[in-house]
Amino acid sequence: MFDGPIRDHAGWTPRATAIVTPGGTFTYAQVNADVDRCAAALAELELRPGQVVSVALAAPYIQLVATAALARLGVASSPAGDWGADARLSDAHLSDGHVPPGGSPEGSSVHRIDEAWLRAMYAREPRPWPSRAYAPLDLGRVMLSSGTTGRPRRVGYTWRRIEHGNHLSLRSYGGGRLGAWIPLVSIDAMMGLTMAMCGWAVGAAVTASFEADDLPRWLERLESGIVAMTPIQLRRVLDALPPGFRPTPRWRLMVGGAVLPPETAREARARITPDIRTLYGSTEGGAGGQGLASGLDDAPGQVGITPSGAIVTIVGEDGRPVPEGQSGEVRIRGPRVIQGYLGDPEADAERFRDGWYLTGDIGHRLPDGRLVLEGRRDDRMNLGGLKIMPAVLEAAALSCPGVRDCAAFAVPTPDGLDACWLAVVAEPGFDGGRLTRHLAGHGDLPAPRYAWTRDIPRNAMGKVDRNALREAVLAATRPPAAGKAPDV
Amino acid sequence: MFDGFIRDNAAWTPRAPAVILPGRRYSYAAFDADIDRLGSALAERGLGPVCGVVAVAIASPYLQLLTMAALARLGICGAPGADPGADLRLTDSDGLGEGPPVLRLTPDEVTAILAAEPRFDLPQLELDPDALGHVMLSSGTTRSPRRVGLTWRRLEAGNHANLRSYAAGKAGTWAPVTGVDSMLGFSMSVAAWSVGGAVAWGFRIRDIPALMEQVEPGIIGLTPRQLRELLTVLPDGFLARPEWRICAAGALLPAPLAHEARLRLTPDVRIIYGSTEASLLAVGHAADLEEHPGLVGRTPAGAILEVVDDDGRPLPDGETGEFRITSERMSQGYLDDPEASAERFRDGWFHTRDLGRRLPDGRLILEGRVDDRLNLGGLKLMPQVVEQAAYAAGGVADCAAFAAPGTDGVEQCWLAVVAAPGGERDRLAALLAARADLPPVHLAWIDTIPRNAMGKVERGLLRGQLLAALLGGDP
Repeated sequence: MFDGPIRDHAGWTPRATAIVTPGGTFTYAQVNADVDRCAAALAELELRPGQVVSVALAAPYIQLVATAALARLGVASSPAGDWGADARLSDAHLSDGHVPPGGSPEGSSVHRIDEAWLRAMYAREPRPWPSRAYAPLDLGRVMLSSGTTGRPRRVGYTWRRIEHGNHLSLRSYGGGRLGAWIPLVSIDAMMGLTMAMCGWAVGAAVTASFEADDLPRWLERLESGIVAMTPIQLRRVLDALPPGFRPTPRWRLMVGGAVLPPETAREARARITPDIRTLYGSTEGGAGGQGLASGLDDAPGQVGITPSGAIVTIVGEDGRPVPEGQSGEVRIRGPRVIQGYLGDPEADAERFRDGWYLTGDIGHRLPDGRLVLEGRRDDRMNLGGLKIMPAVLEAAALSCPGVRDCAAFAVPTPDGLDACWLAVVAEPGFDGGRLTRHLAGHGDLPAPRYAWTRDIPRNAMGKVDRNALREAVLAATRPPAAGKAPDV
Repeated sequence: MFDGFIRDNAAWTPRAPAVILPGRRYSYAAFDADIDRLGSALAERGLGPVCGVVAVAIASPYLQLLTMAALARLGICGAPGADPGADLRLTDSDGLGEGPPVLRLTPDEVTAILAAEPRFDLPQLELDPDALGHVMLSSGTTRSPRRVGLTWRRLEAGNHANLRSYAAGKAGTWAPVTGVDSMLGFSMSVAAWSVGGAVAWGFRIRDIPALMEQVEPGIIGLTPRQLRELLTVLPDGFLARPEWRICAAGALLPAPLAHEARLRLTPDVRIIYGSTEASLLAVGHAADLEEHPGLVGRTPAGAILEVVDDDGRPLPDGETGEFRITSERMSQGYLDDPEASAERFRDGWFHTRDLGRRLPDGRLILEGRVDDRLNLGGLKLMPQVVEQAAYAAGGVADCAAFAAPGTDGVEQCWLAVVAAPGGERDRLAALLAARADLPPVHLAWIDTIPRNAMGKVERGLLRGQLLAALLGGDP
């Protein structure tokens, strides 16, 4: 499906830019011809509709072209991680690197996409591959859900679901926007895939492999459009702004993947552009919220309203909707929600119920309809009966001058109860007693134990890795076993 | 469905204009609150999805848009006021003619409804994607209009295709000059709200130049005939507004008209080739008309368009045949008209009855209607071929070719011509006679070419007028 708009705009605006990588610029006519070439070459590898083919190509241009070419063949694509020693899931695998240990598992095949293959492919005559009619309920794309623990789960999107999501993006943050669409994550992540498909849908220039550190100069150089990134990447962009950088208010920044801290949002609105929006969604449930970063000033953690087309309710532990304003788990239903994971009935039973997807996010709704996220259900600390979300403690700690970053987490104690810990990144010379006094002034917060650290471990999407913090504390506090040297 | 777009933008940009009327603007917040007020009032009067299709026969422009959106918020299928098959007609006037039962909202009632405190927000409904969301009337050139049912899913798929084709990258103000009861006008309104743009409605064509200077630029949707009128009323010294996009739909855009519009209004003139039954069939650039008269552009992804011969076999590029199309944004048949449905919807394809061909690069050339094809005693000819030859000869303001029987009973080719100021009649006759690829063309000089509301030539009327004139002995 998403290769179709590339062909459309190759017809309407053939000389407009379709792809920008740090190394080059490619027009719609060029990209469309390369997608045709690649589709013809891939068809000779016996890749056919009904299959899922993972794309593990590091060079950004060929990664995009191969993914679009699979769509042109009617073949579903999936990220690099959908194949390998631990996850032999896709039917075939396009790889520019070595074959993973264990070789090619039975019933699937690895295709080396090396320089010779690419040279031969680019040398082909670009014969227009015929437009095909898609069965709307066939699989078009597989994504891997960013499980914070354990192995990723496979999420299958039908062609109709891809169209639906694309329409939503166009009518929410993408409406009326052209210019450059810059995802700071790859198409293997939801935000990157969405941005690429939507940028092409409207004939914009989609970038690939752009780094947060380089963004300031791209903001000045490219025609203004949209940048999508995680909060942690926005922090890096702010740190990379050269002295005297003049704000670029015609750009729109979309921040998703984790809750945007209000301070970061304020700084970015002043130093980059006032047009900053927050995205809240999941691979399984699609967009659950979209809001304005300015709304974080009065409601930290707010992720905006739920764009029309999906229904979101907040439910208690008994699965029943809670009264307006109370905290509970966020659940979502509607055409953007997938019906289950591929080949994982156990996980389905846990997360999908009666047409609802249980997001695992804890939050509440403001009277004006905006959602406020408090954290992950799995993150909720149970301190001997006192239940508290880490975000509550973190927000209080962050309001203490001198605290740069922090993360709260629970660690089991020898008596079986969980203790509350706070990992803190503070300014040099910070007096720890100041934070203790600051938190004591916040009423009924638990008094945490402190782990002073240089940075907070986060995953690629910017989510705090609380397991790593817990393990680090346990390792540091565990008494050395008799006769053995302590772990290094 | 589309009421949700308004609610979304009421949260994101509450103070941005959602509706621009002559002399008044309504913000998204105000419009959204009014939709809840009117929707609640209609629900209190017993309106719900069980009411079937509700026609909106409302003269007040704001109330018309408001009612369309309020019906959608209640999950009710709306329809144009003229829908003869609706189950109910909602109106603000007391002089409606024969037709379905009427529910009247008096101006006082409307005032009271919109002045009330908003009691509650109507909930967002979970709609059955295959249920009817709106009924449109297809512009039948001769018969009574056929009713086309659009499901909620079809409305979404159509809107998506609009946003990635003629509307790509545009927000601002959207002015559907063709009226919100037309397919173009209705889908433009939905599309504008879906991207947080404003719908400018209730303006006369002579107000459009001022609108273009006063509001944020966006899209103007009109027929070639309305474009002609717009150029006629364009004030002297009007500075072209390149930020606006003009989208012409409903009939073929003549190249000279497109040329003038590009110079005097905006260089960004697009051709929309669509139908009520099949949504978008093609979108193209008016600039390409210089080289290819009749060009309508290319088919946006998601639909397959084929050119087929009289037996339904696909034809190679370059050969002329009928267009047929299949897609997710297509209707599956006419409502309550199995005969017409069987004729036009076959084997998953919608048969457009349009004739044309495809260029090697994929662009489509529209040559005319199957029903318009002139059969001159066995020689088949599209009227547009003659018309384009006449325009190319110069001195022609407007023209239409048609067939009428000669004294021997064999059909002859006629061309009704409206002369441009200074046009020489003899010169046109000589130039047409010199064209080896054309049959003899008889010229009839007239003041205006009869066209229907969508700008399509009424060739039957021309034929009748001519025969009456010939019989009356007054050539």
